[in-house]
Amino acid sequence: MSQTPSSAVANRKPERLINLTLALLATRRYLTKAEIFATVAGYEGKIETQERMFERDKDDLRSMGIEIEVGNLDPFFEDEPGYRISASSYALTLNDLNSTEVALLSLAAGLWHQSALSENSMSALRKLKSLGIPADFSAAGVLDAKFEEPAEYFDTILEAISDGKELNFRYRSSSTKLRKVHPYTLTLWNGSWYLIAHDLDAGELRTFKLARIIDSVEMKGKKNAFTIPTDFTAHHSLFREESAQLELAKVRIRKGQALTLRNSGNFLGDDGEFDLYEIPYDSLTNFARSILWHGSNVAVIEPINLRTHVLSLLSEAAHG
Amino acid sequence: MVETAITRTARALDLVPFVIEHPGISVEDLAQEFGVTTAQMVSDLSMIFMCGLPGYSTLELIDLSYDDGFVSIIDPQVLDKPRNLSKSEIISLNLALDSLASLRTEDDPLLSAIRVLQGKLQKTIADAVPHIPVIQRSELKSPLLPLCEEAVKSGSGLAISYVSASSDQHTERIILPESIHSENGYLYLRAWCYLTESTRTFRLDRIMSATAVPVSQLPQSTKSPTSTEHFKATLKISHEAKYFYEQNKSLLTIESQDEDSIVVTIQLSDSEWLTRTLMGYGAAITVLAPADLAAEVRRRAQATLELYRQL
Repeated sequence: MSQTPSSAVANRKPERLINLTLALLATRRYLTKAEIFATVAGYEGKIETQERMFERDKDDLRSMGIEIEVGNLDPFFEDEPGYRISASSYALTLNDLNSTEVALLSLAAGLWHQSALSENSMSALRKLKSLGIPADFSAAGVLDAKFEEPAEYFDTILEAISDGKELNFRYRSSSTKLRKVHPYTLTLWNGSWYLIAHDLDAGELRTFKLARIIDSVEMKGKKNAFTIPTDFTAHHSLFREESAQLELAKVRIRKGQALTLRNSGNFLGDDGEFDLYEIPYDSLTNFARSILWHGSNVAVIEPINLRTHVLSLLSEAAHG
Repeated sequence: MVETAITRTARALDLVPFVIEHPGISVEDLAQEFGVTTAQMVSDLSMIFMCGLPGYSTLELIDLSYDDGFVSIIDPQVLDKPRNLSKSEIISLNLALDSLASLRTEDDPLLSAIRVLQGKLQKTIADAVPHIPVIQRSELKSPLLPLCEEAVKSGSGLAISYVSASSDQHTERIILPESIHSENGYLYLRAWCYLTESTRTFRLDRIMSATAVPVSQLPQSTKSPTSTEHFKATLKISHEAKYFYEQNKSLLTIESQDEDSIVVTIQLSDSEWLTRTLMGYGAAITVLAPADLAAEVRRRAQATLELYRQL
């Protein structure tokens, strides 16, 4: 097992971290720093150097999610803390998973194709595969799901939610301005990502479409700057704000035609070979397309801006 | 890219219990599983070989073999169990499970199975994990999903009542489901259709009703179930029609592109859907071929303009 000098240097720190993990995991009683420096491989140099190394190593292990317990060796003297990792907090305790659940987790982990989500899901899946429970796909469905990948600010927003930090970003709406928020959760609604957050200037809950965030998202201030109310849940109702801005169109639909369009509106009355309908819509561009989809079976009466838009698209298409 | 010590440490700690469950796995397979090069995997394994418990005699080191290209752990010391899931791992898995759940209706047995599983995941760590819900518009879900999945699995047919997207007509047809997928929040069922004698894609929320048809009662097809996408068009899509490109990416092949527009080809089973769609884009999409399609779009636009003049 020979190692080249350069790999020996590169290995030094991970080796020390692994050795420290093993030593703290193997001990039942707390180990003092002096014991750690004397017995764990990799702690070298002056005592100050070793102290600094150990502090950084503890932080690194904690950032990996490994919980290091700190305790006192002697209940009467609190000046000498000791350290250990308890096996129960270190190890994955998901032994009650059944084979269908393992299959569901494999399907779920494969859902993300890039981004940090994919990396996290795959590393989680490897741990689950190490439990030795076989996967049974027969009851896990055959649906091949595809979802929009989260936007580029996803990781930063997630971190701010986890750490309870304030977020600042510029947002494009009726006017573009700086928003200062306490982020509560992210959600995927109808194929688009939204941030649900407490808007500090407005003093209330708001939903922000991630695609409308401009430039960058910045974390501000300290950790745990707020707590999410215990009764908070993301729900359809949070999107009511958006649907409240619906416009109403009055259209003629040829009898027996455009079934899906009819289902989205209200019947107003007869008009010769047509029926009159009132249909709500949010995006003028998209609604004009669904009107034009039906060709000469549907005609817009009002509003005038929708009618004008439809007519101008028609004359473009008629002369194209 | 230079890896951090943390990344390497985390991978090493996860490698040991993984190999215990997969003894004799090849170095190449192991490298692929962990998303690293074979050289990196060999370097990881030789590093792990140097680690162990205080004392660091052969009895206290992690003992493993990999020299013949196949990896086995002889003595893992205290690393026999996989590490607990991290907060970000739980968030990612939970989000993915939520996404799977969002496509299913309340009475789907898989939905409750997913919810139970999410509960188990949450319990693995003490910290509160921010919940990232996925919410789906309920009218895009279909109570027929379990029935369709069963048909795909068992290879049986379905008799469906369908509101066609291309003609907006109600039809009764018998289909042989092949696969189900989701895209942009919609569920799609790909199946051989005995009515049109071709492979078609059906949106699940447009299937009004469905009943299972045993294989023995399926109609005889004169054609064999091969791909029947025989309508081909070439389109020039300008910047204003970016939405069309984004929505239909999977159907399009890019032929060329410049600053203002892209030229694509599209393959479909017939021209009706495309004709109707193009009506909504005006001059933003130009039909380069076939000439019939361009003429049909013009004809329908003129007829519709005529309607507006009369009303």
